Amino acid sequence: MSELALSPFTVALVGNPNCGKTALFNRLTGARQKVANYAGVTVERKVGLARLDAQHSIAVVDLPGTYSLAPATPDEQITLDVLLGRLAGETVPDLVVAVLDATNLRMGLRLVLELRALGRPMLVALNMADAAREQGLVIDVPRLAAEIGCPVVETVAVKGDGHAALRSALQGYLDQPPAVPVAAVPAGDTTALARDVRRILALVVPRQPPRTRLQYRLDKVVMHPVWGLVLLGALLFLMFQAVFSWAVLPMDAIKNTVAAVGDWILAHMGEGPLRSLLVDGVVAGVGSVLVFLPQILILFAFILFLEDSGYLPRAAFLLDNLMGKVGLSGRAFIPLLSSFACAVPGVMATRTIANWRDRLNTIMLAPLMTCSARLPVYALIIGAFVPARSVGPFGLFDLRGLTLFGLYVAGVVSAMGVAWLFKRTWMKGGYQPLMLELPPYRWPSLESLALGLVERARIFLRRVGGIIFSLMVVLWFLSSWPGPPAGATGPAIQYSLAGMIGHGLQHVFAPIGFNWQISIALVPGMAAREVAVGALGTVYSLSAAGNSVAESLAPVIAQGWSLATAYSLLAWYVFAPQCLSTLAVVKRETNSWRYPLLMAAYMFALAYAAAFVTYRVTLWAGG
Amino acid sequence: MAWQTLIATLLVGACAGYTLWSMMPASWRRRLDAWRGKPVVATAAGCGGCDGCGGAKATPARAPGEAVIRIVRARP
Repeated sequence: MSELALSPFTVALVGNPNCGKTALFNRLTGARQKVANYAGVTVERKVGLARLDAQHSIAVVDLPGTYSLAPATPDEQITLDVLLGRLAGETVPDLVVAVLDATNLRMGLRLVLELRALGRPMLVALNMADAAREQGLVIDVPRLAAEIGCPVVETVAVKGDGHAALRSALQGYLDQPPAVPVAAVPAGDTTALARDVRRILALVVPRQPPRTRLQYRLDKVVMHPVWGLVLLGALLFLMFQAVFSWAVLPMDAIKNTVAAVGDWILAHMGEGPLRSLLVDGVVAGVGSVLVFLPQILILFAFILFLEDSGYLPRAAFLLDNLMGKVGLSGRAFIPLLSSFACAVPGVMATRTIANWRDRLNTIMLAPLMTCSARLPVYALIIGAFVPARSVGPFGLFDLRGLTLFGLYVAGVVSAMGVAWLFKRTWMKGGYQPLMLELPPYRWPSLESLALGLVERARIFLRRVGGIIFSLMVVLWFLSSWPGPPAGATGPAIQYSLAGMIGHGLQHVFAPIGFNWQISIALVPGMAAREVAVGALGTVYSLSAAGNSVAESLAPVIAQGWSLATAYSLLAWYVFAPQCLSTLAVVKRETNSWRYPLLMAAYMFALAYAAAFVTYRVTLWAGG
Repeated sequence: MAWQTLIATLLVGACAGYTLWSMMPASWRRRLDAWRGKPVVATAAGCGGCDGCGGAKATPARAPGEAVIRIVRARP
């Protein structure tokens, strides 16, 4: 049994959204759960082990943020269930650590008072104490502790030793474990609660400093109905330009290294199945995917910067009007935005949406957002078929970046169209107004940015070294076995299992311009979309007459495909229905097979229709 | 040549096993883990693909070495 399961003492971190619970959890347990400067990042309960000293460790539970103990959304319900011990198979926490944002006491104190009424042993962590001091807030901590009736410790979760006081306090509780009474949600009188909060605030923060006007000035521009949208468009545009312009050097370096490794194997190993596996399967397949690491990191550098700065919830408000017109809740913005990284956390983030129809609508749309796994596919085809030239006034824009931006916009526009259709036919319901707390603007810390990028690189490399590597090896086998019959003239792959599957599938995909090699690549691409790129690398490497490993995949497909086929594949990937993990998480979140099957069906139909129209129109236009 | 065939065969077998394991439904994997007597402490994405995105699978703890993140599903 794990040490976690044996740990006798459980501490639950509870607090408002975006008060730093997860950052504190990461500090205590050494975990790397995602943190960002907006509400709703944590949507499920997470447990980690915090080692206080050589002998003692405690289980720490990170709970989704909540404003009160009257849950309005599924994630808030989890928090209440854990606190009351209603979650099946889970013990009641021995100690509640109420995490209070020191810069926003008014909001947090209300929850702290509700938690106090539960009658459980409690400790308050006054987080972001440094930010409060910088704002000129002087908090009378002993008085606060006396008013709440429990110990209060200051913490700075984003700093290395910012949790030291909390660790000491927890150690104290461990030495003398408190009794845990049976709790129930007390009947709250909200008016009395608000009055109590005002009274405590007047006592512990007698001199409220004047609020900085910089935040308001920034918001006047950032949230302006016209200039705000212009700024949002410009930021996104810059992001996609950078993905292509800034990645050239590191991509070339990776490409050359991969080619050198392939050449070295060819030069130092005798001909045989292992050499073919390494060169055609591993180097050509895995190397074709690995080369896109710089572009993925540039994309995430922008996303992490915007997340930490506090800009994203403002973008949600900007787009609320537009999203409301197509029948989406403003709360759908954050889940949909998360889906740009991967649809899996995006689908899970819909737990912050209270209305079931709105939530389901958002779940069904999440895979239409262009996830990072599509980036290698887009980048490969754009790199092969779109010339690298500057366009627009003063040659300001890179044509490839512009094309990539267009593809992301196509994903968003199609999601809006589908949302509009769903809301008018299937999921009819009224508009749910957006209520979201606006976090203060913060200058993102370089450390947190660097850690986030290292984490993204680790995730990508783990995929490359794990599922992508193994799929490429399996695909190499399917593409090499059985060998060609005696007297065969074509490439061996044509006679292999993969060749047969590809030729079989081509009957389905020929009307949209896909050849048998693309048809093969779509199958392993169901596991992870970028595998399609690696699969193309392996298939084309095995199809080539000579040793083409030194060449990159882009020029090979540029010669072999028509422009219509390339555009058709891009259109297919805007909808890209094939992602098993997304379908699995939709099944889990909806507790039904009906919705993932519906999702797969409607996305396949859309992808096929879009690819068909694109292919035929491009052919008609002479492509 | 024979040694190349042998190593390639082993590699293909291992990768096929890994692919099968990664792609099978999480509930089957948990059952197999339980059958092998291995404690089940984390859920992973069906394909091993998007499991690192902070969503489907917890990130293993690093600092103290022993920390394990366990995710408990919300009831839909």
